Amino acid sequence: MTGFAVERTGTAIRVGALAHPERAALVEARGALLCWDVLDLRAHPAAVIHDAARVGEWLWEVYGPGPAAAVLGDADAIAAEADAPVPAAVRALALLRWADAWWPSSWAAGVPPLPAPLLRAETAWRTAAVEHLLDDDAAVERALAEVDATALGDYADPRVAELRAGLEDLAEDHGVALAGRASERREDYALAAGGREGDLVLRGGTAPVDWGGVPQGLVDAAEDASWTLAQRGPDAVVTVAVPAAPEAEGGRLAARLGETALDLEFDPMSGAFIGEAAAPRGFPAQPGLRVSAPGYTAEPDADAPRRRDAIIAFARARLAAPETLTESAAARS
Amino acid sequence: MLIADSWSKLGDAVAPLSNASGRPLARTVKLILDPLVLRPALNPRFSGGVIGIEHVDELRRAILDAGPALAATAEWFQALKRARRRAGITDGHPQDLYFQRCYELALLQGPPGPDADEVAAEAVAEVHAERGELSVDRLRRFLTDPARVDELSGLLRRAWASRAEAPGAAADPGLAAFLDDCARTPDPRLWRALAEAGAGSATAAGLESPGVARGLGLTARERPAAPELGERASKRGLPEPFDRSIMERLFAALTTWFHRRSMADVPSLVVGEIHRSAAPWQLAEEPSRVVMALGRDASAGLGRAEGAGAATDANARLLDRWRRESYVRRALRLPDAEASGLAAEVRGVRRAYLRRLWVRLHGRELRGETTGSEEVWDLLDGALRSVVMDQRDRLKRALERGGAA
Repeated sequence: MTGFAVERTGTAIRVGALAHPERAALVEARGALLCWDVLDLRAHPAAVIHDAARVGEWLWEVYGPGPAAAVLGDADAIAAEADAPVPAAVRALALLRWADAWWPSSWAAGVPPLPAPLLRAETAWRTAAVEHLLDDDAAVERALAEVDATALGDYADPRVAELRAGLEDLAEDHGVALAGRASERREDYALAAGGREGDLVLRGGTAPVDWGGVPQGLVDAAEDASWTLAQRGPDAVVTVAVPAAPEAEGGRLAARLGETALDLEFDPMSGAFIGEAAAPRGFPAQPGLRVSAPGYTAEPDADAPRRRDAIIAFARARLAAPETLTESAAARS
Repeated sequence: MLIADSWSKLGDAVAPLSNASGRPLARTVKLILDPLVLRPALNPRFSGGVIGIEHVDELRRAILDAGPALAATAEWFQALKRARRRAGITDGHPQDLYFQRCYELALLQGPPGPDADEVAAEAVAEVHAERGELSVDRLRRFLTDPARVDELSGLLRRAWASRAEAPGAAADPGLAAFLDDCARTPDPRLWRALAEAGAGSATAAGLESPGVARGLGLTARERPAAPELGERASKRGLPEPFDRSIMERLFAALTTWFHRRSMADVPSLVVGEIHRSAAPWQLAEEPSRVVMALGRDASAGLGRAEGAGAATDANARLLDRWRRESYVRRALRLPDAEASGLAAEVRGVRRAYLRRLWVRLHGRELRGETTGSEEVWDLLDGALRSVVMDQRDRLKRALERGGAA
């Protein structure tokens, strides 16, 4: 039984509230956004209904017939039915999509990365299972296009073989050829200078990295970015280092330390993104440090550290009691 | 709920037409149940899940009565898929292509019999032959045949020279009224009245004023000009709809849609396209033009930073979808459009929307599909969804290019 407040605005019916984007396991359904909060994981989702006529066809599957009718009627609260038929299937899809965006892989916190081929395969499978209530009428084809069938052959688990066979069938129904994709490893690492022996470190500091400012799988989710100011011969240099996620294989970051902009390159030797620059005259004592990936904007907020700790704990709990092949495989790795 | 309930009584026999949740596939509903089972059985017309209590039993009975035919359809679908595999065919969407043909076979022949393999092979060959006949090659040969070029150019010139003087009437208040109701209770009488009054053509008059059609994303020119016949086309880098040559217009439709059973042969397609290009909104049917007028009004304000309030219900709904998208993008952890160099695309979303809507209406005309009042909202909303999903794909690619993933 999950209780929700129901609120009606000019254009929408809100059932409960949408979670912060980092915590939001979303499914875009036909006429409504369904949202589970990974830090308050319930059987049933919160929803923002923006097209009552369209949700009428399937809302009962998610909340049960009575509560669904109440939502579309004039109730100001509902208790979703425990045995409604579809929420588990939709929730599984929502959580896979959340993991794709926010899985906090980290050396520091001991959260292994999720195997991408399994994650994509399970996402496609789960997408197809609930395609009748999805907003995107090409959702299954889109999800199948991400599947790498060849990589699935690497798993000994018979359940993976079964999944693969199911996906091949599904791909045939939709006229999609499952691809075996070449891995996109970047070989042209530039070995960045990570401070040198002989540097005289004057001072340094750390700052958290805004998750919203970097894509998943690039930066260690539990580590802070750090900076140092050092004397090298006659020059003063600043160095910024950001520990990379376990699955990172390359990429770049941009850092802003006080007024100084730095490009950080992935250094496979140290497993970090590192960059350095000449320190400007009058380098501040407490420079702010912001890190983001190309195309992203970092927007730090005060709640972030607590939220992140909780999300990392959530990820650990999933690994301890896996609900998907993806999580089982990661837990074993 | 009714459909799901009745469907579940059909059991495993219809599994190939169902998803893992045991519900009929979206395409089963769209291509088979809705048009072929429910509409013919239910009078008045069944539409999109809204069904009067007095028709509940009728609907249930219609689905259960169709049970044997649906089971046979499922079997035929398996047979056609096998035939497709044997023939080494990989293009097109099998459900889109074969579902209706399978239902037809089920009604005519019952379940697959001893000759199923041959029948299936024939059906698959037929579906794909229709496609081959109208190949892009034939189109190109026809349009570039030296014996015909003069004639076709003359036809194009005359069609443009004799374009009707646009009436330039005031906006039909019926457009706004229709937009207020089309998402919930589209009014079929108002819809017909708008088409009969030429409410779409009337709005096309403004397109001739400098910069107007360009502002709507339909041309890069100051004013629309007569298209070329064209000699080549490619899927990438097609110009704006009104700037596309006759070749490009037909090419885009031929390569995008597979259902060509309903399409005319090459010469009449080309002549039709020449006349269409000179018509208001460069579309041949008045209902399509009305949809363009509706789309123009319903998309006002898209892509602009918080502006004035919405003018109509449909306008509010489209703006709402667009606003929702920024939350969804953050939740999917996609890069920021501004910071990814896609800012212009985001701001140009309304132009992209009207282009997409035009292309869809153009395709429907070529396939001879009519547009009923209850389909208008799906068209208006579907075009925006499609543009939004494209932008997401582009953001994802920007992320991959960044070397970050």
